[in-house]
Parts: sequence; structure tokens; C-alpha cells
Amino acid sequence: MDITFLNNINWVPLLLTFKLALVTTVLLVLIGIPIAYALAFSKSKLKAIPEALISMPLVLPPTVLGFYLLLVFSPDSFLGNLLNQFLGIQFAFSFTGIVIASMVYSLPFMVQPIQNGLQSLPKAYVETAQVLGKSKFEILKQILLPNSIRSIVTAIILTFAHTIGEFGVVLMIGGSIPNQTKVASIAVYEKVESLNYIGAHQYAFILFIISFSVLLGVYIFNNSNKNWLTSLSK
Amino acid sequence: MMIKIQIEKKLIGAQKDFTLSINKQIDSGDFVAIFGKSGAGKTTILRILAGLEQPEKGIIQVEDKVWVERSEKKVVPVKNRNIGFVAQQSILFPNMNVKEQLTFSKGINTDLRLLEEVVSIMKIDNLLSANPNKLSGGQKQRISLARAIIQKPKILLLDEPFVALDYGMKQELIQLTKKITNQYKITTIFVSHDPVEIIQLANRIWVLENGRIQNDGNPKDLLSNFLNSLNN
Repeated sequence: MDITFLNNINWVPLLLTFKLALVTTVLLVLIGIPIAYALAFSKSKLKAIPEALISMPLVLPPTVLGFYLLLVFSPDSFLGNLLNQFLGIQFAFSFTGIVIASMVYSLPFMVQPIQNGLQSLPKAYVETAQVLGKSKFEILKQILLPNSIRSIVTAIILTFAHTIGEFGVVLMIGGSIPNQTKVASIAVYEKVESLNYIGAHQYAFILFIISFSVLLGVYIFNNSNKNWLTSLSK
Repeated sequence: MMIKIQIEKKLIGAQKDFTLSINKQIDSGDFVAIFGKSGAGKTTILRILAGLEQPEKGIIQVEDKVWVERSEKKVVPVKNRNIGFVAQQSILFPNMNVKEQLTFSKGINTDLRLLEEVVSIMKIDNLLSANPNKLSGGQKQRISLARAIIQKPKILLLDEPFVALDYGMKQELIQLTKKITNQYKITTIFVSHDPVEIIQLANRIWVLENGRIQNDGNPKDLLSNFLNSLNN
């Protein structure tokens, strides 16, 4: 295969894409597990509301999400002003902004697989661990998470892959500032707009290969035997 | 470990709803069997004692400690009751080998001698590094029982633990249960459908019907009457 079109590629948008995907995924693991746990074991009739809210990015156009995030976090808004004044965080047109937007946009990809994994475990595991004197936190750490490791790894891979593919929401929040917010998907868009198809192909090809590899990995992983997972969960 | 149970709870029956109503006392070291038809409320009594379900009214007192006092809304959480519970289907955690299952209970680090003793009595020495998915039903139940004993429970609750086993395994586990509960003088409450295993194990039987204990006495006396009534 002739890959000479990859010569002289500017790697910065690709590196920025991976940095964004990595930071978003790490932060979402920390936030997503407690949310998934709360939703999986909540008996409240109102839990449908947070469930629906978390799933909204699956159906909303990214531009709608980006628009509302801009309204909420813009320097003129109460929250945006507060973050800027007291923590020095500027949301719009910054890397921090696109991380927050990506976290909102990819939240269902982290929460839903983990929630499903926790809900599929027999209720008797929790009851047995309670009878054996364990607290809720100990049960989560020693029983629920190790036995949901498959769902957790799937959630991590899907979140990472989904963040790599983000476009609309990142463009709305971050614009296209080189070295700060111009990720690979935006670089493709700009190259096409300027009729630079070879330039667009450089990023598109790499994104295509990476996305395919990640998804292939997910399916191989899901079909694989569980032996190494058992050792991973110890 | 003296146990006082005065509880009421509404249950949904197959034909009609009924109230589970128990007012009994169990003496320290007793091995009480609860005998009755399916849906009579036998398992619910065990789950209430373990704290996995709550009665609507009543008191549960173990020695001088009140575990449940509904009128004062007092309920001791499951994890603080120190109950040993062995269910019909053994619940072993797939992410742990047998030794990890046995040392999982709270406070086990303090008594490794007991662990070794129980492992030897239950004949599971050679299974310690095995994963639960490699074990037979009988081996899993022996491990469940060992895990329950190792936590030095105040009460041992057995919910038809032999029902899924073949005859040979059942007899072996009944003998091991008898030996181990006698050796550690554990107050035990045992749910069963099987008069023979009740006679082998228990020194007291409650015959439960429609949520109430209709008979309370010696298993040999009560069950021989029951078996005679079946023959006539």
C-alpha cells in the first residue's frame, strides 16, 4: 500500500486528539463508576431522570449540546464567570473546555456498560458479602468491580474511541485553535473545506485505522476467554 | 446464644396473602429446623434474622443486644450482625480462589488457627488454590459452610443447603455439619423439606403453616407423627 501521502503530516492535531481522549477517559472512569453504581442499585422511582439526562448525548445533535454548554460556561454566564474569577479556568476556546464538553458527550459510553455490568451480577453476591460483614465500599471494591471487569474495560475502550471521533461539540466549544483545540477531526474538516484532499486524507486515514483497530479490539476482547481477566481482577 | 424472635410480616402467598407471625425463643446451642411447605415463609424467617429483609412489626434480640425493634425504628445493619448464612445454591465469588473466599469475611485475619481447623474438618485442604468454577456442587457447599463457620457467627442460618446434592454428598455434608456445629457450639437455624435430614441434625423443630408455627418440639416425635399420617 502506498502511504507516501502520510509524509509531512502535522502530528499536532492527532496528538491533541489522543491527549483529549486520554484525559477524558481517565476523568470519566473516576466519575462514571460512582454514577453507574448509584444508578445500578438505586431503588428510587426518580432514577429515570438522571438516566435519561446521561443518555441525552446519544440522541442530541452535538451542536445542540455544544450550544448549551457554551451558554452555561461562557464568561458572561454565572458559572463561567465563577470558574474564571476563582479558579482561573476559561471554558470556551480552551483545552479545558473541550475536555469538559467531551466528558459530557461521552458520559453514556462510560456509565451505561458499567451500569449494565453491575446490574447483571447476581444480587446474592451483595447479600453474601453483607452477611460476611463487608461495607458497601468494600463490596464495590472487592466484589462488584472485579466481577464487572469486562464491562469496565469495554466502557473504557468505547469512551476512548468515541472521544477520538468527536467533532461537533469540540468545534462548538473549542473552535479551531492550533495546538490547543484543533483536534484531528476538525483538521480533516478544514482540509476538505480548503479542497486539500491529500491533507484531509492524512488525518482521515489514521483516524479510520485507529477507530477500526479499537473496535476490532473490543469485539476480540468480548469474544475472548476470561482467563486473563480473572487474573486482572485480582 | 439466646435468641428472642417476635416478628410479623405480610407475605404474598400462591393462593392468598398471609401474615408471617413468629413468637419464639431459641436457646444457646440449639439446632432448630423449620419444616413446612414451599411458600410457608421459612426462608423469610432466615432472611429477617440475617437482616436482608425487615419485619413490619416486632423485636429480634440476640443475648442482650436488640437487633430489631420496629416500634423504635431500630435495625442493626446486616454487616454488623455476624451471621453465617448458607443458601441452597452456594454463592462463591468468581474472582476469588477458595482460600480468598474463606479469608474474605470481616475479622478473619485474627484467627488463622480456626481457619486451618475448619479447613481440615471440612476436608477442603486440597482445594484452597482452586477457582469456584472448577468445583462440584458438594465442594462448593462445603466451602460455603466453612466460610460461614470461620467468621465465628453468632447464629448459623442454613437454607436447604443439601437440596441440590446427590445422596452421597448430602450424607457426607450432613455429618460434617453435625460435627462442626457441635464442635463450635453454634446456635443454628435450618430450613428443610426433608424429615430424614431434620432428624439427623436438629434437636428442635418448628412446623410452619400459613406463616405460623403450628408445632414446636422434638423432631423425632413430631416427624414420626407426620410420617405416620402420610402412610395412613
